[in-house]
Amino acid sequence: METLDGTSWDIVISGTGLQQSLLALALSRTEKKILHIDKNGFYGGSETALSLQEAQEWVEKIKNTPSRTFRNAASSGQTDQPSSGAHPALSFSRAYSLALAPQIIYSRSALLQFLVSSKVYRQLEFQAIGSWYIYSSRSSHEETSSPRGDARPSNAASEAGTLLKVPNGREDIFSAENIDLRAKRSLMNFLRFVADFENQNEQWDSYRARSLPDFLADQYNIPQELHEPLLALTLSPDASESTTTEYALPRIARHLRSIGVFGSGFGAVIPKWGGLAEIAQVGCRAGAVGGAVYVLGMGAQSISNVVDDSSNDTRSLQIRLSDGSVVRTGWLVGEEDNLPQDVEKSHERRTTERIATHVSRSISIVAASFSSLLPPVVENAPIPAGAVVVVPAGSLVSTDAEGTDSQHPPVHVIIHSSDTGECPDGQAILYASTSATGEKGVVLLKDAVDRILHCLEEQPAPTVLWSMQYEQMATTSPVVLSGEENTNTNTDGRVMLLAPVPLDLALDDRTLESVRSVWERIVGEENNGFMVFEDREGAGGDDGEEE
Amino acid sequence: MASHGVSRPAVAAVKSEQARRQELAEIEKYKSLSELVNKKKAENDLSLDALDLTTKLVSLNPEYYTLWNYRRLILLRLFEQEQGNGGSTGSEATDALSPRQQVVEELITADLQFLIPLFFKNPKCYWLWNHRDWLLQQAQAQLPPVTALKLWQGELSLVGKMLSLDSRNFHGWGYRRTVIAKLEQLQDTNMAESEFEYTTKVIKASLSNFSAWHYRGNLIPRLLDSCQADSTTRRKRLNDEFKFIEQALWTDPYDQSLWGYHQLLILNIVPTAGRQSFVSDLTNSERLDLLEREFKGTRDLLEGAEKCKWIYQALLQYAELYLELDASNRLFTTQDLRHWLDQLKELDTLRTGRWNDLEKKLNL
Repeated sequence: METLDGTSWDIVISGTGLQQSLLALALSRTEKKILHIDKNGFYGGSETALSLQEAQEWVEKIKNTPSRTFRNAASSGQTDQPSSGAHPALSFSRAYSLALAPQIIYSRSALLQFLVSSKVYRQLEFQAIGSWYIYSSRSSHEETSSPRGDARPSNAASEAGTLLKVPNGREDIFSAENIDLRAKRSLMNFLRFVADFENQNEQWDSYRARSLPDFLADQYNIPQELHEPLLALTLSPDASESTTTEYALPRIARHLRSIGVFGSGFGAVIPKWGGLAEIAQVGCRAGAVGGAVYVLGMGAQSISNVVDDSSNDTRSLQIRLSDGSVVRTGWLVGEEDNLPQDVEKSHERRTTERIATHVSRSISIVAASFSSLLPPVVENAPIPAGAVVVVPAGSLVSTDAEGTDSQHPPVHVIIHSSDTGECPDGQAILYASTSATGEKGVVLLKDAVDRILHCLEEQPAPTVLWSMQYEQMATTSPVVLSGEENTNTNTDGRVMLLAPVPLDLALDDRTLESVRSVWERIVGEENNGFMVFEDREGAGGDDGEEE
Repeated sequence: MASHGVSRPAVAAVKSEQARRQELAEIEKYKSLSELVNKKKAENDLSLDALDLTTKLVSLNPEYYTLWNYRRLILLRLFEQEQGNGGSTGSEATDALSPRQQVVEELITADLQFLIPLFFKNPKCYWLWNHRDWLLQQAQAQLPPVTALKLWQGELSLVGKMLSLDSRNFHGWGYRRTVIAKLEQLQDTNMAESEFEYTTKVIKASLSNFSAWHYRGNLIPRLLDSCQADSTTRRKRLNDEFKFIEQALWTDPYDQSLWGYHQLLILNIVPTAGRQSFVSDLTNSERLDLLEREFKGTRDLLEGAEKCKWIYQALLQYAELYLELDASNRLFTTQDLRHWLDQLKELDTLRTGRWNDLEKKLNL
């Protein structure tokens, strides 16, 4: 390969995570010269998908050299145990595509709109996220009936629990057998309000900073047992008492407004084959087709301004790459993890203003198909490939002394079935996350996954074949630090720092806004609309519509 | 992936020159094809080639109904063509198809297949449904019952799919009834029970589905007849249905289709002239009890839905029925009626005239 040394570019994009890849897609029809590098040997960055082997290696790497983004990684489970007849075992490494970014994408999300308008949606396959459940530690043995309750042998008494389906809207409320008539009425009144809450400020203004349960009880007479299901829809990382009405209402509205957009009964999708990694791949592919040069295993080590020469060349940044090459560029875009240290330092003032917290996450390969949790919602509807299970704060009440602290925050679990292509048939991947960190977080995640497995109808409960846990830095809002707020002007506003993709279980649309603002700064006036492309010659027109 | 919610920027409203030229070319192509087909029709060309031409043209424009007539004429001619080849007549006891019947079956199946993608693109085009119906009638007329049955069964799954795509397409529901009637005839069965379950499924998926509720209501008498239901079973069915609709009304009292169904059930307690109840042997005291129960239940519905005009409308309607049964009522007072009527006038000013008439009728 020819050396990059001495080359000159309009834009250098560092890192092939979701945002950078979407930027590459957005820029793929411009005439700009783009160099897209990634210090890793793979695409996707923090949103990548890993085979089993790659996941092991990734865990080792983080253990030895934790980064700003990832730390405290560990894995458990034997990957080399031979399969022994009755006992399910792990398949070969490439049978797995474990997603570091298994987020669900709501059907009205801006991302999907842009994937359509940019025409790359044809390269992606999206699958439905079906039912949502909350975990309840009350087993089916007790008086309260639940729609999922079945008689279950009493040997799992201390671990017994059930998964209650969260009603998705009017039809679910109608069919629910565990909600009485007046509660149905109250719920519906609330849902009707939520559908239009932006125009009904008088109704909830005084409750903005108060907890959602307060609002539900006071204004809508919603009985307490229905608070958790509604909270679950918000995907709030905090317990219900700490989740404000202001936070909750837009999120519940988003959920309800998304149902039915792509088909009955579901409102969110996931990309097949490994979460957001697929979208990053597609973005980079589009970038390459558009002429960008891609180099993996190449990082940006340091930047400086080019000493001013007489030519009015706007390519005034000079970057030293990890192989020693020096390139010139007009713009540099990346995330903290893939930009040089000196950039980071100059942004430190803003960095500390951002709220940076960590969340604990785990990925578990389970020997079960979860088909009971993935029924097609209506006849002829697609079989969902995923389900969401929320373990509400405090619901993992432990009967033994050791075990989960009952003051724990909620745990969010997304189940991806083998239909996603992320694991072989008969297995499934459980992605779990919680705001608790350290040892507490590790135990909490493990406990949550365990309890969920015990809720399935199979006896004995299915086992976790392999799992990994880690902590990841989360930010509360993606902010583009464009350097112009930076008083240290040695980079002249030409370095754009993207905050990491938020770890919210539902893809945050503001991610797209970040990409758009970077794109706008780069293309300036001469833009034809963000992510709006015509089909390329020879492509397109084959949507499956007959002509 | 469908383009739901994709906002097209204003820029795209002006067609690019390329797109415009492409469109003009397509218009030319269509016009010349249309001219050619009409010429052939005028010449009474009923050949396979002509069939292919109509195929092309209706694919571009399924609403062009004359073409469908032409197509049917061609098909009829093609059906007959095998007549002279020593084929036997259709009504044989064996399952084997005569050469002529094979041709007919092939042509019919091919046309049915050809229609399917058109259906998905134009689910509400009358001519597509008609042509399909015609093809199947032909199948029944010309092919042995067992072949015709298979085709009709295929239709049931097709209409199931169409209705799952759009559960309110009245073409679909009408067609479903045709298919069910045919299948019942061919198999000498009563499919009311499975159809009843089907309506339950559809309603659970889309509560506000007038067609499903309507179909359900129509099925109940046949459902009860098919299992020779006795009085107890009939009463149970009535009560179960009331329970079912009660759940629905508590969930969404603002939905008109639900009230239509409730009314239908009420009319089975107190049938008006010419109607037959599916519980025809209710005693007068049973009627009173049931009506009273439902009346109270409707009144309860006001809780949390005081602005729902349908409830007031129902109360007034059922009050009238109740008064006919028992003039010495203690269920409600004139003041109640007055109040409900006032509410109705306030909530639904579009129909003031109607409420005024009702007022006179009730002597308020």
